[in-house]
Amino acid sequence: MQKYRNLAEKAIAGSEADYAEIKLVNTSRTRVIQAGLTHMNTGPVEQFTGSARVFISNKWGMCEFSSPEEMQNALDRAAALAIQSRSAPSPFPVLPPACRDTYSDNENSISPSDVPLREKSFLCRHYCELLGASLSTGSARVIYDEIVRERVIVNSSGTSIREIENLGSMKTQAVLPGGLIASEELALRGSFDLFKGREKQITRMGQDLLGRETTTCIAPGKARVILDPELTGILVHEAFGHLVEADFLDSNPPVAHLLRTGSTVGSDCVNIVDNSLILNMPGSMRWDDEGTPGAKTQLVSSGKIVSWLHTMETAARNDACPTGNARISEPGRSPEARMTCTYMEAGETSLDSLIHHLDNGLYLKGFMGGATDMDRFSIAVQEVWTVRNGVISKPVTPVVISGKVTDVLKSILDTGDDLRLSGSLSGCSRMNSSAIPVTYGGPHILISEMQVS
Amino acid sequence: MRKEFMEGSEILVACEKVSSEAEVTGVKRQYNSLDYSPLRSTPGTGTRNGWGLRMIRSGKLGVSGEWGMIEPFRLVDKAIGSCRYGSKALFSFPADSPEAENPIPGDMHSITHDSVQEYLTDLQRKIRDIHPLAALSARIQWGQDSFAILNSRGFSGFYSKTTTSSSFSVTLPGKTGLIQSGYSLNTTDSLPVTSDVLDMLSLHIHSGEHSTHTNAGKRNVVLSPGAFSILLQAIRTGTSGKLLAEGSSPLADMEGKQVLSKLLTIRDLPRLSTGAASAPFDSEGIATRDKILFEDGTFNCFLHDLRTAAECNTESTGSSGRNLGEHSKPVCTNLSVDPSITGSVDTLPETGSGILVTNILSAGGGNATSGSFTLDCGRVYFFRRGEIQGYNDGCILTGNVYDALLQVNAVGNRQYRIGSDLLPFVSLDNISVR
Repeated sequence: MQKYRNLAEKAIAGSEADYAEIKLVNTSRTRVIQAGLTHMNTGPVEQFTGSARVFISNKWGMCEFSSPEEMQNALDRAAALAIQSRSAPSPFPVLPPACRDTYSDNENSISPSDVPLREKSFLCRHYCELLGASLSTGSARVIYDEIVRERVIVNSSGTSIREIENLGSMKTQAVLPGGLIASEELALRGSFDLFKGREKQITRMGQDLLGRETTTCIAPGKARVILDPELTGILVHEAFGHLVEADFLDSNPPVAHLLRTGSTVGSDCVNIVDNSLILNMPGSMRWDDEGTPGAKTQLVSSGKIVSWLHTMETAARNDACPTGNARISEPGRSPEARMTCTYMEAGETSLDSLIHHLDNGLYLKGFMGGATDMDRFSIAVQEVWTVRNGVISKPVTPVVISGKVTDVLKSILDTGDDLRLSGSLSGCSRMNSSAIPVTYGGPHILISEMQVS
Repeated sequence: MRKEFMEGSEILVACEKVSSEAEVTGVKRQYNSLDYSPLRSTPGTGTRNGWGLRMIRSGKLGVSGEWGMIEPFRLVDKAIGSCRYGSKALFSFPADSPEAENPIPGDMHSITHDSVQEYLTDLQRKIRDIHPLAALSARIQWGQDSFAILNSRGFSGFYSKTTTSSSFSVTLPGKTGLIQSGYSLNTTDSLPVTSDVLDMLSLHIHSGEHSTHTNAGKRNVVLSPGAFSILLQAIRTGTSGKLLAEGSSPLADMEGKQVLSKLLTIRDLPRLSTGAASAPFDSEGIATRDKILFEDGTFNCFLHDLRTAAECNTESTGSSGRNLGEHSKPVCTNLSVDPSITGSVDTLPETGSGILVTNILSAGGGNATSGSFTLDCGRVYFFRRGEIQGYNDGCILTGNVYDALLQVNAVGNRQYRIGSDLLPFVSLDNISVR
């Protein structure tokens, strides 16, 4: 890619646009599936894509190309589209300081792409057998996904960066004949080591699933609950994070007013950040897809809005600075303000104390699926335990929790001291856009009232 | 062979001495696009091309694929590596080429960036006529896709089609919070009719009604075509020969038996002239044909590709689908549910009273294999005597798809395009609501 980076620099230097940018991405995807006795592997499937983006007379134009030789032509076509565009004018983007650098995951540890397919296939088969054996009934499945991505971004403000990411994910799933499911995903950036030696966790996952088999249901209604770190992360990501993506807010002034800086969205113990510099987790970026350096952005402090997530364009519209959150979900698309690693910061209370304070209620663990309908959210929970007199009592059938995000964030009574992050390679989708890798997390949290169905 | 796909022959030649059979698949895509938001729109254009290789070596099946810069020998090398851990090849690639290379008809020559901009500006104006604070975001992509398959047994096939993919999202502030509504469709037709888009965004219902409380229990539920599409995911999975071959299909041994309501006839239409998923042959080169999956509720047939057909001792139904570099699996193309001849569009008058579901927020707790579902419907609407009375935020539907689709008591009298499918409104009796 280095020689194509040089070509891109040359093409950009010759551009007469007000702003021009070339992005080159080489992606290699591998998947190994072990479902029972069936083994299947695909890849690595290589994909090279390039895109040229041009800003002329306050209008944007885009062109995707599939070969480096088309780079100059793509810049010209993007310029022509910008000139002919009938769009409303956009402000000139806020450009971060010029930067010329390279970052690679490969330098520090054995990354997923360094490990032979043979070893990955063996691990999937081995874990699947272990999980199947621990269940004695039902089915087991292990899926390993890997994305190796090399990005080059060159723009007319003097930025030329190259970043090599190695992402790996292992999903483990067990299903009992009655339909009860246990599902876990371990996703990492830059290292393969944590995928090894998981025998104990895998066996315990199967045994725990058997221990949760029950036909006891709870009546739908409001309940005091504790969410585990994964569910806290999902709540932060799905229910809150999407609301502070500035391109969405720019198009929705009434919502932007509700979420203006300083407005209260949660209780005093709620502190939320987006930190793209946690470089061992998916979604992290040394530089975002516009070449802006990654950053830790405080979104909520003591329950009050501090900042939104910005691209260069939304920063210009809002008199702000880019936050390093410009992400492109697929080639040929404009960058969007999207989350990277978003989490609620830990408090000081231990899990035992939280359960004691809960007294009577529900302890909810694990994520099965969820979505947000703007300020409303819905999350399917994997594991539900009743808590009686401050002691975890017995399992009940899985539930769905839902509500309005600000109501729930304001109902948080306390946050645990046990911050944990979870990642996913296809963890975040947005309407009209494809899924991108993200990380989410938080501590255990105690909520005074949550709709449980 | 078309000039633009000549590289495929070079890849096949490179496979001659290292495989017993080989097959290459080429895709070329040229598109234009417009990303639209209330603040600005961005015109785009682009090209994409890729090659996939599948080979049988030492009796095992391997795959590889590349998009962008293609290097034939790298592609072959990866396929050889994939064969090492591949599954046993139970079939041969087809030898008979299709008769003609007819493009699938399309109607989008008149589409330009300017006309799409005008279309979306007009749509935004109509949406704001219904709700002044609503904000439309959309992406429309249109262009031509070309596909080619060649294999070492002499098969050679090519087709092209023009497609339009449209995706709309509307956000508006409601009385108790924000409301978002979305609609996506793919077709070989020109831009979608504005009134259909407004219908599917359900904006006329969103304005003005009052919130009411819901009691848990068994209720009549009317599903919009978009909500119905999510419920049909289990049918797409259940009719796949892959599940049958694995021994986990809920439809095993049910051919010829009543499985769904007699009001439901469900078809798979790969020859539909306006279907974005239409193709003269599938991704393995087997000729496609339209099929009735369920006729008046009676299960008719499974969908097979070459592999599942071999495993189930039957023939491929021309239903192979796959991305470049991936293994084939049987898939539905353009799914169509027959509309009723009588009755209304949305079935509300026939149903009388119940709940109208226009948007499924999440389907996280379900299992597509067994058919069990847990659907969070976001906002639902209560209706009585066919008239909307109010709404409720937060309603969960649970049950099993096959049980639920036995309870269909009315089907709408027209189809809407959802993705590449054609679906009507349906009314289901006795659905568990909480």
